[in-house]
Amino acid sequence: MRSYINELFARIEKDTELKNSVKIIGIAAGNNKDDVAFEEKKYDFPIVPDGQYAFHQLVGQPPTPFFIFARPYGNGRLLVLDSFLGRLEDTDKLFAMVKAALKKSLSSSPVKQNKRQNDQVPDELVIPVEDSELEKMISQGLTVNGEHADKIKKINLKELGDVYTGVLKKSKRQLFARVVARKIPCVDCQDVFFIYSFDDMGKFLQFIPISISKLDNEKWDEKDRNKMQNNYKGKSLLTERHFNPKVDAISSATISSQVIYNSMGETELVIRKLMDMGVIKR
Amino acid sequence: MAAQGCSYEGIKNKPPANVRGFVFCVGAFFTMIKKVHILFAFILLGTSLFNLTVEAADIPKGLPREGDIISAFSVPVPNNQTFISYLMLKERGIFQPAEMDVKLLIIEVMNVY
Repeated sequence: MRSYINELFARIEKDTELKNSVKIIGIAAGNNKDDVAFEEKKYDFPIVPDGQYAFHQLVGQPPTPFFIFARPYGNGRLLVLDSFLGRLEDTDKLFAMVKAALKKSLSSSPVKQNKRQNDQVPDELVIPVEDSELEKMISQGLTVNGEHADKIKKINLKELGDVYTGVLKKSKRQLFARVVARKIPCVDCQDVFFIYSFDDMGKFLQFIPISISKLDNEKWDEKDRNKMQNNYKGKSLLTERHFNPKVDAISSATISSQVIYNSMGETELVIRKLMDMGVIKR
Repeated sequence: MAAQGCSYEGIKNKPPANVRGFVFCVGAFFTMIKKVHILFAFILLGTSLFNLTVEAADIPKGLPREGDIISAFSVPVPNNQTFISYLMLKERGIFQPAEMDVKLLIIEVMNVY
């Protein structure tokens, strides 16, 4: 299944002109060292784990596979010479693209640089439900033992998205519901939209899917939601959790589950921001 | 029959044979083709143009394309495991493309699951 890139790698390594000039690396979005170590033997070229989606976000959260042909441009920067999305199993065509990109790289005439550099914002994801329905879901997230939080207000945390907060009347406990919209590093997967709630100590409360799909675009059902809810039930979101696909993933939705874990792992950052803004007082 | 319309019989200064042959063939072609062939030709032309534009439009907005500069490995954010792992390529004796004499780096953004 993976053979076409390995085949390209072999062709480059055999070609005396290309061997020392062209290198292939894989960047595994959302995969940690252990995932990569387990799968690395399938690949003839080195794979760099990108467990926190740092590189994936830097390049605009593409579906995978996404290919970038680039020339090192000093100080760790890369000048993009070509790129394409999806599988290209015609290795002859792929090889021709490599040669064309190398020609551009070696050309004395500079590649025309785009005005926008590193600030290209991908299309913002639109929550796929009506505002009224979203409000109901947020209200559900800000509910503990049947008691609804009061004085709900919205806080925009820029790249961390919107967080809604409210206070329980009796206990004065402050609750938060974060609305998450994420792209998935997978070519046939649907974007993920969900809400999760927690208190000011970072204790997990509820997981509410807005729109999450499994393989073949089948929507998550109540059983899937309950499994994710139980994965976090009673736990603190401030403790680092390593995603184990065999245990933690929803069946036929491994990459979506991985993205959800990654998003929930940002809670510490969310709480720190809320503290900086004075929303959470210590 | 088709050649009659472009026959040079009776003309004193005949063009060279290869020109006559060419004109004969062009004339024969336009006599024989039907409207359906013209339509078919337009469909073929349209399809090829469409394919050309689809290839360029395949890269959604926000993804790197020719001419973009990406700070792929220049932001040593604390806990940026990607950056650290990238640096480890050198430690592992593989290579460090940004600082070595590599002319072209091919990056496949993937997910191993």
